[in-house]
Amino acid sequence: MEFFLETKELSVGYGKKPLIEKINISVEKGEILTVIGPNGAGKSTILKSIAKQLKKVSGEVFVDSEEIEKIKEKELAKKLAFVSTDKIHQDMMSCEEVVCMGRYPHTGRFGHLSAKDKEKVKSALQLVDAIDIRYNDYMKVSDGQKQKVRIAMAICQEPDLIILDEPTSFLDIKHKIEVLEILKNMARTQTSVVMSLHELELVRLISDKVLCVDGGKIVRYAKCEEVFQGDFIDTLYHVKSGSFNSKISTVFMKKQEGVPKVFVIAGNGTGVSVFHQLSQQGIPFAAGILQENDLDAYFAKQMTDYVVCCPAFECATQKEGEKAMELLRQCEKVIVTTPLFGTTNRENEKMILEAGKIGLKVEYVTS
Amino acid sequence: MKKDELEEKTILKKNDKSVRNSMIYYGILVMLLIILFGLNIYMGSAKIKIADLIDVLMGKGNTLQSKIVWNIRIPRALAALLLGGALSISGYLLQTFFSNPIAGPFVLGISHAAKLAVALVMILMLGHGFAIDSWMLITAAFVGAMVAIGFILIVSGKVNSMSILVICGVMIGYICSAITDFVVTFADDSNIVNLHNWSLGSFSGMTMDNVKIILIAVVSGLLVSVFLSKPIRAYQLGESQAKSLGVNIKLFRASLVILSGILSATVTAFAGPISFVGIAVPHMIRNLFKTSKPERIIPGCFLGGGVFCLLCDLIARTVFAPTELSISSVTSLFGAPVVIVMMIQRQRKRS
Repeated sequence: MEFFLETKELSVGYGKKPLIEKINISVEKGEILTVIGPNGAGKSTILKSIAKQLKKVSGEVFVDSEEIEKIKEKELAKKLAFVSTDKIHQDMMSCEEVVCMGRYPHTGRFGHLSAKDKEKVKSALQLVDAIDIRYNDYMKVSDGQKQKVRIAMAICQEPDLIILDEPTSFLDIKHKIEVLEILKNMARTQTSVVMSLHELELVRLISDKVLCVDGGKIVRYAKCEEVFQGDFIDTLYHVKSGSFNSKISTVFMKKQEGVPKVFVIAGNGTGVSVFHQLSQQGIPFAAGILQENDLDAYFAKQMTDYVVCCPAFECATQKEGEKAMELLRQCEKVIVTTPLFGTTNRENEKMILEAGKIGLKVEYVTS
Repeated sequence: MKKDELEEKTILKKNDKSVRNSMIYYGILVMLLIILFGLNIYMGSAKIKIADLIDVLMGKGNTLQSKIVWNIRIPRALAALLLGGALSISGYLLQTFFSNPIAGPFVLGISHAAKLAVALVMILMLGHGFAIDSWMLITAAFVGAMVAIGFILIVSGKVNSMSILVICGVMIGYICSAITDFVVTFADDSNIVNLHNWSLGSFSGMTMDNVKIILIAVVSGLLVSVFLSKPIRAYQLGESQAKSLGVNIKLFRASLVILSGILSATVTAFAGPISFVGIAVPHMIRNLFKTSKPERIIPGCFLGGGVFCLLCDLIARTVFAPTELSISSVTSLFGAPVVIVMMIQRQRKRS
């Protein structure tokens, strides 16, 4: 297999002391590799070393089958572009002028842009959807726009490999998605992408491979979906309070402690919003009776210990009904979020009647 | 399609406008340069009528006036023009190097270190009866400048704060000035009378031979700087970005330091330390041209520095004539407020 980027027994760090050792990765053309791991694990150090921004401690990095040390700066700039987290502070420069700098390795001694160069700048600006802000002062556009402009500059280098250090940090959700779309499109046109990301839900949207770094070593290097199994992510990030649920790519805080005060009769994903409201207000709640495959079940289980479930695709049994009723009697209030009752949630319908009989307040929150 | 064409046209217009503006500013600067140059050779403690001056310039006129104009005033004006230009380019290069507009040969103590080196060489050589040529002075000044820059670089490797760096620079300046004063005071030699004036900064006593050497040093410095404008532009985006674009950072940083060292050394060797030109002029030029493009700013700095120093020297010579002010007194008076305003503006922009 021909790889565009390959590292062999690479050790990286500052000075002579290795921070992370034995990095062996390979990226094909058009592949996306994402580096994840806790803060300070050394993700940036790895990226900088591969981009020749930082001198590696030992081992080899091959770009296009050539050892990176042997490639001249200007030649490397045509193959590899690096987008760092360092901010650009330069007054009196338009976004277009910043993008033009991407042509640096392709222009002559004075950096004069030919008609062809200008065409490339324009298409890069269009690609990142920044054509409207091209005359704006770079220092005055938003962080999201700045990041798009910087990626456009990297695109202008016409690299086969783009390396980005946390390209989505500090961006709003619109720009996070836009940046990832741009990178995905670049990968489609055979550019390899190597980057670090903190947003795990985004990682699996875009990555082919994931490199997991923690405690000075590579913990795992695998296909993206293999990493998002079980509680591996919680282990990698040392999550102790709360969790990251890999099934639904969602972050949860610590479960509410105490005896449940509210019983939520949910189903079909209608309970999620109420669960969030109750958790946010610090009100302990119970939920039921939910089928194991219901979205509400995934959420409720991460937010409270008091969830009554029945197996997926099955009706609740009488035993489960009794268990739920027991919980319901302890509560002060019942919230019903589902407007629909059918064969599989007959028990829930019964519970509402029971609640009325014992004088509990029943509130309907349906949208 | 039509919209696209229209857009293209507006881009072209915008580019044209920016180029045209720069051309207009160059024109204005050159005109100011010519006017100030004329005033500098016309005005002075010896009164010369305009008609006589023209005669002298045409190669006629009486010998005394001819001598005053050709041997004193013209070399002095030329030196002010060239050295002013050299100082502001040197400042601009240092500002690029440190990515900070407050850097300059004077505040970083580079001028003072160069001054000390020159003073030492002069006293040593004269004391032992050797003759000194201009290149020797430039070399001494260059060595002094490099020592100061080396020290600043060591400090900047240890602390990551421009204000501390500037304070260190100012302190180096004081130390070098103090040692120079000691040396000059105790060097009991009639040849060193002039040294005192020079050590405060002055364009007086320039000869045409001096000017020739200054011309060679400064013009080559100017040309090399213009050749560096492409990597300077990339470096403005930050070191890591410049690296990613393919700049050989080590080589580039070394050339910046050596080039600005040569330029400020040339100035110090001939005119002593001159304050604030290196900070004030690049700042004013950037604000005037409304661009950060080095290929436009560098020639602008050269012309602007020339205009600034011709004006300041004119004031130094004529305001309290026949008493002459030191050039640094005048450049400080105009330059320091510019620096203060600049720092306030920067702070305001950040917050």
